[in-house]
Amino acid sequence: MLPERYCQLLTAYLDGELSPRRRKTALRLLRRSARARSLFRKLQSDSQRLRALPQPVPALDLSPRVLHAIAQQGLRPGPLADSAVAAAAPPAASALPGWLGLAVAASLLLAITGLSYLFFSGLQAGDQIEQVVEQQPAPEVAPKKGPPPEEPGLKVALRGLGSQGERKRLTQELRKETSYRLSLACRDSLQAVERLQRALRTRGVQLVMDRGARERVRRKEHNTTYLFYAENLEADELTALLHHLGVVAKGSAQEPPCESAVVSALTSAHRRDLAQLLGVSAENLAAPARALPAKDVPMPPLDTIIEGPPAEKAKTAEPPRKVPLPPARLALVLAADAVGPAGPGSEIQRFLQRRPPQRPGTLQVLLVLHDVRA
Amino acid sequence: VSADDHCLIAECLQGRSEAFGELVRRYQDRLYNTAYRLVGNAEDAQDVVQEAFLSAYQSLGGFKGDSLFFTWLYRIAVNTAISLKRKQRVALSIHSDPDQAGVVEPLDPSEESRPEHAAEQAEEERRVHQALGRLSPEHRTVLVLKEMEGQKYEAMAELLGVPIGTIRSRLHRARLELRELLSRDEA
Repeated sequence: MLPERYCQLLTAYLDGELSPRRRKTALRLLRRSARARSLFRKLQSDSQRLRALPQPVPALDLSPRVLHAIAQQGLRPGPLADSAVAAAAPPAASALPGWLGLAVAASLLLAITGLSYLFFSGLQAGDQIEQVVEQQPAPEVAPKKGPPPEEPGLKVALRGLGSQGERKRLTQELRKETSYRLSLACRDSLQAVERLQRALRTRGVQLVMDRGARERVRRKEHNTTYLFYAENLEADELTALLHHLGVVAKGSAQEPPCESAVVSALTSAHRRDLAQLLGVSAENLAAPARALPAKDVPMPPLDTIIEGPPAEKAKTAEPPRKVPLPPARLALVLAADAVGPAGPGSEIQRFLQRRPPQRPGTLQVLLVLHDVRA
Repeated sequence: VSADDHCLIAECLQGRSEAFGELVRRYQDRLYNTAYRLVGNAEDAQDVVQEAFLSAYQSLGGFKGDSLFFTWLYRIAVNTAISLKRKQRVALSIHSDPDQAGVVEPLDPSEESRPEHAAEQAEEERRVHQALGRLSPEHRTVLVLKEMEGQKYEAMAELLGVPIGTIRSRLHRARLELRELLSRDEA
């Protein structure tokens, strides 16, 4: 059994709550002590199990119950504080006339039809938007299937990420920006979504599926282009996800679901189109700030210490396990041909309402999973 | 505080309680999620969330607007849940049926489509939830705040009104206790 103070050091290390000096001590302990490594692995696993618990939501809307209790008990809000009076002045938006909502909804409906098409086809020029909207009168957003178009960016062969050196290089590359769009060529986009889901679950990220995507997954429909949007990912987590999509599963003869990815910066045009798709303004999807000063940088990966030397690691097809980030992170999956003019569904609304703020230095990521068989 | 929240708070203070309904709808899911983890069952979690909203409503005029409205609400809800859990501690240890607690349906439809996976997943969730439920309220609270809410030690200390050192040692003991419970269950 490890002495109490060492155990405490390891739990604080797991929580990412150590000063750089104490972190070094913890790393030294992990390097030197097999018992420390064993305990740390178990604590890390417990942590992941806790974070993987599903997030319950109330079965009912509680607002009628609360309002009923307020009325029944004759409750009144407390006296108004001066600062609250000043702060509570209604913003200009609240004075907008009621018809504006309908007008906005109608324009959004039209815009979504056209912009979704633009979004998936990778068009960026603003002056082409109107033309495409006119060409897309059908109620369903243009189904976009098939292999990804040739796009500029860094091309990554996912199979190559089996090498630790390649993963490290990609992670370093991904740390240069804070928002990315990745266009992936998938042999099986459905399997890719399922793998993403499992990989995210172990990292405490809950996947929210839009109704259209959920239907396709339920019916096990292949040949669909899926869109995956996530925030608050670390660069090494994104690398691990890509690795996960490009490796052969243990004990399986099946090809991995994805072949390659083209990595490019998420441009303002991409962001604007995504915002239209989600029914929010582009400001809501602003890129996260760059990393905080060194003292707040997340702890270094423990792979080399916990999982043995690289030669040993290369034998495994599974991507390395990392200490996950704080939970409650959400990712959204949409089916490209199922985001229709009915506008953002309740799942998208739920995602937008519940997503936590973006942490500085983390990544905002849009993956477009093209099914190359289509 | 977001402009929307301010607007709704102002309307509540002017006597329009429906605006408070909107605030409830806006934040109930997040509060419920935390409350559920802290108290361990749906019924109590709903009571905690309702109680927290009622307390917030009565103190709304005192909300200074120098923190997020949700943070303020969250603090009220966490304290309500801890207080309820403390009150129920003895009663729960006698009456609760751990096998019935915490079996949460998987949210993910693709998981549902694989019966054996769903069963394993449900069993795993049951084990973890049950172990979490056996911890003392203090230990359970720090684990929930840290692991499920992603709170920093400093924020947790402020929220619970204890020194950071206490948070550190509670978390340490909570993790070891949880480890012990899970190992025992797996054995």
